[in-house]
Amino acid sequence: MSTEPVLSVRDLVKHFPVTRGVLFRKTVGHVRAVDGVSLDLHPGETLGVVGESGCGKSTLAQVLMRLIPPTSGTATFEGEDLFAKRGSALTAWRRDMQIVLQDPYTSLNPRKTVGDIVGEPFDIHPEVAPKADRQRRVQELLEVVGLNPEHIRRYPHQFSGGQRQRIGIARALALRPKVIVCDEPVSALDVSIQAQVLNLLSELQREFGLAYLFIAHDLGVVRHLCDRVAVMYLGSIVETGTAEEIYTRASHPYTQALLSSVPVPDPSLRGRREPIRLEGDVPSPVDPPSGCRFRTRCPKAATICAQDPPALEVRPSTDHPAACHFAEPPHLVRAE
Amino acid sequence: MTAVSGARLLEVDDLRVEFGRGPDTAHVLNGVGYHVDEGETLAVLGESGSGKSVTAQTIMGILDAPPGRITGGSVRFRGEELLGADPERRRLLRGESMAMIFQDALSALNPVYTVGFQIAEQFRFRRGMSRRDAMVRAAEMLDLVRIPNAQQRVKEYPHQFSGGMRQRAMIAMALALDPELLIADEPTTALDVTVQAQIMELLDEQRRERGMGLILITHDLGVVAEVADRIAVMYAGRIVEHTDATTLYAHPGHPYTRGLMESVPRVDSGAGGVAGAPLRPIPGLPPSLAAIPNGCPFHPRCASAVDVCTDEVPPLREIGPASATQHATEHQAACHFAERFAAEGSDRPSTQEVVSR
Repeated sequence: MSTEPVLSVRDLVKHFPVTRGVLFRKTVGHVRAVDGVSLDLHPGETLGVVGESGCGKSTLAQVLMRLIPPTSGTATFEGEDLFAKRGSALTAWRRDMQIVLQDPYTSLNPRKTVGDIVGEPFDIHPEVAPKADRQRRVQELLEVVGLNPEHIRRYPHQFSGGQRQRIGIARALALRPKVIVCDEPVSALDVSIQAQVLNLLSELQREFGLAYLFIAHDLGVVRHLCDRVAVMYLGSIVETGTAEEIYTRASHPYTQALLSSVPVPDPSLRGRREPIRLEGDVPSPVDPPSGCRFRTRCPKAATICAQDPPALEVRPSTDHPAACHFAEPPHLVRAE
Repeated sequence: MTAVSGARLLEVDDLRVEFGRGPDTAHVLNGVGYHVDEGETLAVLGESGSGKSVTAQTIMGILDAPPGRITGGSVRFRGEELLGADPERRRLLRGESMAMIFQDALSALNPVYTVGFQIAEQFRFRRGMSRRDAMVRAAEMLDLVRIPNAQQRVKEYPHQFSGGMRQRAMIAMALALDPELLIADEPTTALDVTVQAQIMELLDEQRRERGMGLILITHDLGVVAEVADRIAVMYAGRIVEHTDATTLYAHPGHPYTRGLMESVPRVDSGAGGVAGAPLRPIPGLPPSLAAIPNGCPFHPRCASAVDVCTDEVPPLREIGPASATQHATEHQAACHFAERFAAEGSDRPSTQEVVSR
């Protein structure tokens, strides 16, 4: 990418304290939800963050939205320090970065009409649209996301899941942001509706030049939508590259296992794919394994893995960064 | 891959279920029929509200009634009619002959009893075992579903288990009395993909070893393609297509089935084999079950709908092999133009072509 990144994150860490006791609270440990994440998001591109539940991808979104403070690390938005913003600078920045949440049933206030929900950003940022103009703007937004503008007085419960997600997207679009963080925006939707929303997100990106930080666990969805992909495991990025690099030449054993675990809708491949099966569950982020965090489930684990945390870097036989001492392109995971 | 066709286990015929009364009555099942043989996997594929879970609940005899109401049809297990059978008889069949596992293992397990106690209960009340013997059997069951350290784990509570282990514990519970039919209602939907693969493997292995019939209820076209022998696709309380897995993916006869396939972003290639190509979603929304459209229930969302589709309900009928290369098999679809759709085939290139490009 030749352009400057719009959002740039370095060594971001977010630990949540684990406390004991009621009267005398003491901290007995930390949940290392995000533990040293660096990434760049360029204007107009989609960066996918994939990982299983508990890998820290949603915490990452919350920290970047300034909903919770980071433990350490830096982030810049268009060159300015994101975590240093206060007061009016913070409010002004919020126009540029918006979020779409996973659950369309709980992220909309049931007592407000759609017009109120989509128009609320204009109440907070009155400079964007004069009061007289608001209804028209809201109706335009509804139209953009494929809803009937006449439904402006309806309540969220009168819409289906997919329509509610469109309302959430309209709300995020209201202030014409540069970046939208999408936290699992389609995982609560049925496949036929999911495809509608994914296509809508692509259209909006083209039309408004949006950059998406797209957080998801569905690897098919991420491949479809994203230009670049970062794979997270237990709070850190284990592999990153273009979608092409990740999906055809994954070099981290975790990514390889993840990709080979996804069932492919093609019965003719049955018994011909060689899945890499991981044993057991993801370890607790309170007490992650020493060295490489994936080593407890890794088929390649050796002594060095318990001692040295592998750096996220390009290794001799690979063309993109992976955090594994033994990173190598996959042996034919898929059928010939 | 194909099951050795055993004896007929379950036969569901023209099942009809409604919820509520008056003008708002939801017609949840409108004549559902399928069958399962020993040792085979039938996948029931459908989106939320298509009636796949209600069918399973009716088979198991655990439908909430009221508000649910069975208004017609039959459910026969090894030839024995279950609808209207003595509740005590149905209770005996549950666990012993048919068992069910659910999507959300945490809410399906009782939080105030240990996992071992809940499994052992069946051995105590159905097999007359002592507490101690039943606990030993419970530990064996946990071991069978590969829960590590089963001796200790039987004494733990559901909240101490991870999501994948809870689902394993549910499977252990369902298999305890060695049922002939297992109904798995979205067993892996709440799980991460690496764990999902483990659970599907476990279910498939147990089905094979026990010669058990398996009904797999899911919305995931990928899971279905990997394990199903036959597939029944449901839409608005009806079966709209039914055939073996290979035929369904290669020659979908119903436009809804085809629409589903074109809506799924695949991990092994982009839509239609081209990365970045737009998905082709099914327009519109599934109908309200209180106001199912006239004629074909799918017609408002169907690009090929013509007059006959709005007037006549297409019955689920045999459409025959779509091409000469297709091996003889049953293939039913509920579309007036099913033969034409099946002959066109799914117009995605096969994965092999994509990989070798």
